[in-house]
Amino acid sequence: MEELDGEPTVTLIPGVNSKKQMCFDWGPGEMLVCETSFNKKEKSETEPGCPFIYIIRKDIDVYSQILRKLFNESHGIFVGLQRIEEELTGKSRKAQLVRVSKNYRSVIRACMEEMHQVAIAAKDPASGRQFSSQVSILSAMELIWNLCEILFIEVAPAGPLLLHLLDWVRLHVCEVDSLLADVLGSENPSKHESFWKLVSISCRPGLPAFYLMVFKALWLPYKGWSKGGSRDQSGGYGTKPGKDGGDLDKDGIALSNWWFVAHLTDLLDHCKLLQSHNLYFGSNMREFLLLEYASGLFAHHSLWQLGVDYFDYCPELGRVSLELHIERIPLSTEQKALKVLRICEQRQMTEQVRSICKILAMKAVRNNRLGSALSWSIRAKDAAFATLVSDRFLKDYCERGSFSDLDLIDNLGPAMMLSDRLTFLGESLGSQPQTFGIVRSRSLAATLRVDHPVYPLIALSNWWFVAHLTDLLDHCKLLQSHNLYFGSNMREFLLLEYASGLFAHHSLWQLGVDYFDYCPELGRVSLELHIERIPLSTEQKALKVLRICEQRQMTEQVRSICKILAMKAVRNNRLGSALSWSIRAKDAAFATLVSDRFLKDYCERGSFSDLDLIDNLGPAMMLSDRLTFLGKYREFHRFYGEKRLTDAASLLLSLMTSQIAPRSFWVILLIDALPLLEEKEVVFSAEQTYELMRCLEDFASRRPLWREPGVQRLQEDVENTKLEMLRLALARNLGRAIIKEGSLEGS
Amino acid sequence: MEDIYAKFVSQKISKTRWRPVPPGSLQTADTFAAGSWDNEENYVSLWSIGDFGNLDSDGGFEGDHQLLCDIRHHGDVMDLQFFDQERIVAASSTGCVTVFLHHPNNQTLSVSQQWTAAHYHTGPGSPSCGSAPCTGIVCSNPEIVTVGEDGRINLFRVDHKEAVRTIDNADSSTLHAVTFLRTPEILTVNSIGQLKIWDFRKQGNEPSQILSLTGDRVPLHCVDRHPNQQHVVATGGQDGMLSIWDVRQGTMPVSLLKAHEAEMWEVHFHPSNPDHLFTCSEDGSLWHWDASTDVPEKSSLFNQGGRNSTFLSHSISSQTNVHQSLISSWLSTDPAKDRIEITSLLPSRTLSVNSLDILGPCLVCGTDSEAIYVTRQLFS
Repeated sequence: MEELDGEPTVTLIPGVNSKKQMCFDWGPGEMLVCETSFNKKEKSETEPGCPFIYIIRKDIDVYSQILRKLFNESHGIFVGLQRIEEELTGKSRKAQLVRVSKNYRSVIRACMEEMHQVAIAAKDPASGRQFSSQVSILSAMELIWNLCEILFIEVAPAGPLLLHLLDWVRLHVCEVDSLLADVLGSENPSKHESFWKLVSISCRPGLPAFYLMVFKALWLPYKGWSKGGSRDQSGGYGTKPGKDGGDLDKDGIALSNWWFVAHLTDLLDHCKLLQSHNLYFGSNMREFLLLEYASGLFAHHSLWQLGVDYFDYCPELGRVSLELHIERIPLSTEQKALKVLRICEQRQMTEQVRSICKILAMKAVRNNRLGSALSWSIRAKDAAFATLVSDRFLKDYCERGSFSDLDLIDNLGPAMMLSDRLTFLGESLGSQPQTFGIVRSRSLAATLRVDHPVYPLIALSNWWFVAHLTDLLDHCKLLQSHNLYFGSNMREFLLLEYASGLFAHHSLWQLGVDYFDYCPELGRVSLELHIERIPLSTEQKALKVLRICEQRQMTEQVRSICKILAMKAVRNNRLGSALSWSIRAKDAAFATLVSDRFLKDYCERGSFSDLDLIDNLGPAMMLSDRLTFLGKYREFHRFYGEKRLTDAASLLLSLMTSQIAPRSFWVILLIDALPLLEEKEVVFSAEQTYELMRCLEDFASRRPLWREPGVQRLQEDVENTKLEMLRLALARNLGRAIIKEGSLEGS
Repeated sequence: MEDIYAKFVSQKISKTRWRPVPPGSLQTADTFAAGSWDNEENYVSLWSIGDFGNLDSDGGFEGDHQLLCDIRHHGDVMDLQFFDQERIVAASSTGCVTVFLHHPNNQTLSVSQQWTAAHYHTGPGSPSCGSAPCTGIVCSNPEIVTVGEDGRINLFRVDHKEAVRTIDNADSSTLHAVTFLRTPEILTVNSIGQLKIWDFRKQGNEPSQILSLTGDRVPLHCVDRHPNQQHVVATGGQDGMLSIWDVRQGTMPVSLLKAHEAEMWEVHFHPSNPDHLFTCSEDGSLWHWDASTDVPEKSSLFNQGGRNSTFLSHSISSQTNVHQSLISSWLSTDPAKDRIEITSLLPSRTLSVNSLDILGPCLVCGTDSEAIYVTRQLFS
């Protein structure tokens, strides 16, 4: 929390009465706020409470009509990018990536233009301002993206690179158009007097790291005049990984290290011999050369200490460069770390002190040296990390029942106030895992921001920009995957954030699905969690969600969706629909329930509804016993209707003997047998009649006897009459059957 | 298909329909209607594809389709049909059926007729009772037939406040689409793979004929009738299969063609060139099925002849086309499926293509990725 760069801005929520005590709950991308019935002060008067629950949304950009185009169009590009993988190598792959990057940029530009037009057309000044600020965010995005494209993705050799950069300058800084025309018109653009001015203007909105990169890239042709030879180390500036520094130089501008020119220039400068070439970006030639030399020293394993002094004597960029370099010195031993720390502390480089302490603390945590980790994080004044370490202490305590490193914890002193958890630890109370989660995710976001100068825009807009750019850079194999300790890498983290933002939107959820697909680690789990929460307003929407789940073999979700739909259909009295949904869900229990409803309806009305479905069950009939019974019973009716009496009779009998028929239904089945028994022809054979009799007696003997006498006397009588009739019919049929069979055998 | 224009419109499109051209006129399609779904606010909108004669020097058309006007629609637009030149009928997920009137003078849309609660559930007093989505409409001046998730069929007349005829419980499952077979007869498809033919002259709630796929009860999502041969019907199912039926004979499809990988949302015969069929699907593809028979055979035959034959073969094959369509290329039971040439019309897979419509050489389709695609040269 304390890691944030500045104070978090206070956002007032219109309509919320701040005098009341509010409660809130976080959701993905949004927050619920409502009033509680508690009052701050104990006032007896009861003000009329606010009956609303507010939904507060974090990124309003998702709700912009114009930006929706950006999301949708870039979704297509994103999916395309994930698919170009593997088969392409080398040149063609790079060309593809550049094309993808250009596509992204053209989408941004299209949005920007449309937004611009809307901003001009807006009648209300407030909304006009809002649109204009969106335009400037988009243009900043495009600006940075373009620069990244030139430097990281296209990675042209020095000459063309310079032209690309000039193009970039021309496109993005309109005020210098005339200057530019001059420069480009001259014979040797890079030696024109206004050249550096152009560069400096172009660098204005940028960050120090960019500043240096552009500067360095522009300077490349100048390196020609230094002595030949091979440059063994490339002094990687800023965010650029060393490897790419090499790429920049690989077109063969061979260099010795900068020792010669740097020292010579310095000497000449001291002799006031050099008219100092006032480079417009604020450094002069001497400083430039010294910087180059010093960064060369820093790249060396053990010469880095020498470089520090050179940087000290570069008044303008020396400090920035030192800050960037010093963080990258591998802290192999604690002694070396202390030396680096000393250097930083002498120069009041608090940020670096903190980051070094943090690295050391992290290392200590990895090595399970919690006490040392805690003291480093106290030295770094890093509250979040201290919290983390405190939690580890507490966890250990929970597991083992005793504290380790008691001496340290007992002597925390005022440092205890660094973080709440630490105070807590110092006072040795219980732990709260939820708050811990929040702290961790916050510190993660902060880490991203601190470590990566590309990402300050995180704060500006929603996650669209960082997610897509990081993904693209990752495809260029440029990002050393920052293994965040919860097991995912940066690309995935950003994609997940972006996708869950989309899922929070009423209709952009479909886009989010593909982003989750391309998150190998947590994507599927997130998708499963989100997809279940989509409201299924119509069957068509439900079908779409189902298709998404089925394509990904998410059987659990498929079942639950089908079940929801089946339940809805039952409520709406649409039994046919309910049955087909439960068949699709392969949900036997629910199918049984629906079948029972069908049978109940049949008992009440004497005829089946939804014949079109029941007649066509096919193999789905086997899903549940009751459903089989329903289908077969209906088949019996059909046979009977078609006068296929023998088939009907044997089916009826098998329904009872195979025990699929529910007991409560036996009496109906037996009565259904009556007309068959009374047919002129003998339908049931003697054998079958015996079976029927057995069933009848079985049923009669198991009839519930708990009924109170008198209450349902009448019904009892009716049942008894039925039984008597059945017995009579059975006896008669048996007689006829024996005679018939006997005579057949005899003849 | 080079000239396919895409425009992102910031709403998920569920239906697109060309405005019919006046009969007998030589005009080509210039206006279409689109309906959105799954937005917080849904709209029915009218779009113009601009002046057709405005061909610039490069032979391309300037610009894409432009919004003429739109109007809010309560609930998702489930189906959309032009009733005539000015009137559009929209089906809503709230069970409401609305007729919108287009005023070409000031380019506005207004509601001219509305049947609220045309489709509804009658459950046992639970809160979800009430409205049921209306899933399909078909119009034949002056009649409008609607079907819904409640398994109900309504027959409306545009000038009547009440339904002229209602068949309750026409289907035990959801009815997905409807089309006119002959004037008093309609054909519906449902979610258990059945086609039912209903005759409004008959009383009672029983269909006059039921046709069904075998056993598997694969839901059918769309249906279209051959424009010239009223007994030929094409349907698309949940598994992406295209089935061709001859409703005069048998209860089984004449042919089953494996097509898309996911739900087929719409199928349409080309209205004036019915050897061509178009389908779109949840898997994000839009296909053109060309069954104008043996064009490749003919041309190969003539290619042996010499150079000038291409031109000749074209003229002859177009004659045979006319001849062939009389005996319907779709019904021939010849299992040689490779007679049908299939082309995919969209450049890259996107999200679901929900709807398509064809008129003359123009095709329009709407997708879940919030884009409307239009092409004006289908047969180039």
